[in-house]
Amino acid sequence: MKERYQNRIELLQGTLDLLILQTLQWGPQHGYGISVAIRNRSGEILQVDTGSLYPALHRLQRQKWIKSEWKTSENNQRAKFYQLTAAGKKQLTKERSKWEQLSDAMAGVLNPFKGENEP
Amino acid sequence: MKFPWQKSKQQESDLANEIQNHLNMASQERAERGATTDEAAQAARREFGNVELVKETARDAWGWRWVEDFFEDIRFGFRMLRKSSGFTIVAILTLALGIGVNTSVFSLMDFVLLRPLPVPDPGRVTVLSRGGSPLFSYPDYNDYRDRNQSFTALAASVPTESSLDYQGESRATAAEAVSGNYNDVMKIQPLLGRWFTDENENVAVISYDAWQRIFAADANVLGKQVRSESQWYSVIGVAPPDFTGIYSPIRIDIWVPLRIWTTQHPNLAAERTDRMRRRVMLFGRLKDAIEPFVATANLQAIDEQIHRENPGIAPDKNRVLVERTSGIPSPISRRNAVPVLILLFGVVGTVLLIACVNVGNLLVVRGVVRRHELSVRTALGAGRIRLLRQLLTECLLLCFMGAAAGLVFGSWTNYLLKVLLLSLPIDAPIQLNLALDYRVFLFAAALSILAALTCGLLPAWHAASVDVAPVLKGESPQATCFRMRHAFLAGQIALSLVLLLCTGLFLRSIAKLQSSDPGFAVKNRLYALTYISEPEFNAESGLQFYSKLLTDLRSLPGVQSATLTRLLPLRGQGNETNCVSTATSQPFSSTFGVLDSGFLAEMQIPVLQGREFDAQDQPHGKPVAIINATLAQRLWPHQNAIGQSILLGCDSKTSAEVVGVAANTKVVSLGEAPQPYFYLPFSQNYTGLVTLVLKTASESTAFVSTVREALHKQDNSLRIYGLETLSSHLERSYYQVRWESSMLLIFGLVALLLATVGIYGAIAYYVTQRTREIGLRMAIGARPAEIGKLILSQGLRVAGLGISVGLVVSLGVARLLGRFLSGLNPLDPLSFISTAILWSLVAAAACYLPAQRAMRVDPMVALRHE
Repeated sequence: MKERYQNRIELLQGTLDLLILQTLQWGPQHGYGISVAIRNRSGEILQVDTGSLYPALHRLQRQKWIKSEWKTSENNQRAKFYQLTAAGKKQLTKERSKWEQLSDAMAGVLNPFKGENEP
Repeated sequence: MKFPWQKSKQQESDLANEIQNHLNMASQERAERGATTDEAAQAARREFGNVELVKETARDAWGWRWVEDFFEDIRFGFRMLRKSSGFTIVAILTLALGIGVNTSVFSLMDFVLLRPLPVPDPGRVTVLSRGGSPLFSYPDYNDYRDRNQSFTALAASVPTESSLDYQGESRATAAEAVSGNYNDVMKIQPLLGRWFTDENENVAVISYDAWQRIFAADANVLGKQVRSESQWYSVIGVAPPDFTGIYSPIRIDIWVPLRIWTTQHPNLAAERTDRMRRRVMLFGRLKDAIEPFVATANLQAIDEQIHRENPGIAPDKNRVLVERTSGIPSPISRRNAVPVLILLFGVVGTVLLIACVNVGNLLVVRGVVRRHELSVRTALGAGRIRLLRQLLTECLLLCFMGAAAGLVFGSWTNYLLKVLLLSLPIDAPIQLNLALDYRVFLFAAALSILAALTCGLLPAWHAASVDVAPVLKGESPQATCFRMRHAFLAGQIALSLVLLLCTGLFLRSIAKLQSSDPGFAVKNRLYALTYISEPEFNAESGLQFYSKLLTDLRSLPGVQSATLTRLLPLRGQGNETNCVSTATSQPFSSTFGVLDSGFLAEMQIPVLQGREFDAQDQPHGKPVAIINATLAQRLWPHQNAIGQSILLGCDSKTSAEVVGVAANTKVVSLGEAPQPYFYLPFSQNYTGLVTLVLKTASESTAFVSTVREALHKQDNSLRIYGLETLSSHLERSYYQVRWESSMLLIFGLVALLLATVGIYGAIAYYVTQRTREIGLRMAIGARPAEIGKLILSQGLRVAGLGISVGLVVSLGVARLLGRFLSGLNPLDPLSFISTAILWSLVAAAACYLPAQRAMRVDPMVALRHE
């Protein structure tokens, strides 16, 4: 049963944390808001599965990278808003640079001759 | 008080609200895009997925999930076990039986091999040995003590069977004659008084137990005079309760200075300078940071020095070894106990395995009964691993409860072990402390986890992998379940058959021992162990005393004859040995006895050639000996032995003339093959310790009190240690086989019972499961007899398989038992056949009852059943 949820995650291991932290950089947001934001900003490509989102939020909170607070949302609903902490901001920078290294490396592997052997 | 893994209500409701908000917002957005409220809510839910599962995975992130699950499982497990209390009780009792006997045997092993000496810092106390023997010569001891750099102290000790007299009453006991630095090694704090340090002082330390029994815990015991053997000592200390010396399981009652003790025995005094006579046990306390192997190397180097300085003495090919003491200090006794422990562990391990299989079988049945529950839980999203964990936790709970009950049960078997072991044929107090210490508890815990895995893993795996759909539709379980149960059953039958067969072999070997002829008459004979010593009696007056005593005894009504020997044969390892050789042959070790004239005639041991000892063998006359047929054959295979001379002793030899050849008798044990044995005359080999043997006109038990009275009327320095029939001495000689077979008989019957219950339960369950099918068969014309045959054949097929497997396994196991069976052929056909028949009958009976029930199935009731 669990596998079915895990299969739907098309994100690389660890990238969800990065996406969440990045989304929260623009301001406090609740769980639903985060999932909508990721979906919209990725041009509907990245679907964040709730079965991964909430555990990730709770995990990040346990690691003290984000903190939460119950607030009233714009449409007058009480919701749990998550917010980056100072440690979270540092973590975000770290994760971003890690991600950039990774994507450069991936690009290098996938297009090995680019820029090197150009005639 | 709140543990971090306890779920907080706040956190829970937070999570629920958070998810509810998510759903609300999602459906609100959809509604704003024009969907109806219902549609929007449904779509939001669908997109969200399984709410409970998301909650579960979110909780995982809280981090205490597994602990929480574990407690949850335990709570749930308890509830499930309470719900089916019948199953629970049977399973716990079965496991208690299995685990209990194991902890009991483990306590014995703990005592023999593991438990440290009850002294401060016991890890530094070591024992020395050479080729397994702990005995060393005095000169070697002196050199080791003075030259080593490894020990803070190296002490010598001679444990010995001895006597302890106080206020005219004498007891046979064990003593330890120890060097003055003994307590530098042991470092024990006496309960009262002090420990001696001067070997030339006439002082002694008594055991706590002796203080309690003999002195009634008198606080003024210090300074009282006691006598051990011929020497008087004044008590200067009482040992603490748990310290019983280094001769365990024999309890030491008195510790005396080695030098004083030696002066009583002129021959021992001579040994103090003889490097060939090994007499003392050596114990050393290691210096800090010195490991036993360093000490070993140190002593081996000293050995080489000694050898260089004494070139005339051949070095021992076995090298000296320093070991930490644990359990029984003497390495040789420890090594002797190991085969018995292995046998016992084999037996109780098998009992536990049978118990586990039985519980495993019950669990399979329970898995079938719980199929519905388990499928519902699977349908609700429980993973297979999660279910497996739950089922195993339940099983673990069962096993822990079983272990707890087992420790209680084990204390009963401990008692049994003790009672059976204390009938050792030794005239000294035995102390067997099978206390439950932390090692036993750890062992029980480890065993219950092992048992839980053994009995729980397969059934749990099987139950956890239920296929949801057919179960929820109410279909019957698959056949694999039956196959597994049948394999379990056959295995159980095979195991219990092996145990039963081993028991049979032991019982047969006892029967063989009982009917075997010791080579001397036993019926209507009494014996008494008596002791007189210096200064009241020297050799001359002692001989006169015993001669007069025998005359007095012969005049008692009903006593036909009376004679004496030093020690009766068949004392196990307690018989005296010496080297024998001829002028031309190499010396070898032989057992010997010391006899008074008339002993061979009274015991009806035929004299094949020559004569028995008689009045012409004077104390200072020509030394004479009688040899048995085996020794005669070995020394002079082609000549007449009479008139030849044999040499006695390993290095300093004395010679004796052979005056007779006697028929072979059993010497060490009843099961032995004929071995060399010789006799020396009492008149030329006097000691104060003798065994009087009386032949009575009728059943000898009737004469015990008369003889005791007659002995008490003698000189009041005559000490009497045992007065019994000769047949009871003979029975004690095979106490070990008897002890082993009583254990086996008990465990074998337990195994038979468990396996019978197992097969009965399995077949009965099989019938219940097939009630519908049986009803159908009957409805279309099957006769009850056919149904009965069907069920019976089903059960007997399994039993037949188990019995054949068991017989094959037994063929291998029986060979391993050879050394315990005192000469019985391990492949004894009678035991094999009778065990197979017995088990077939038991299996038939166990299958017959359920078959009967199947035959009485009413088709109408059965078909309406569901």
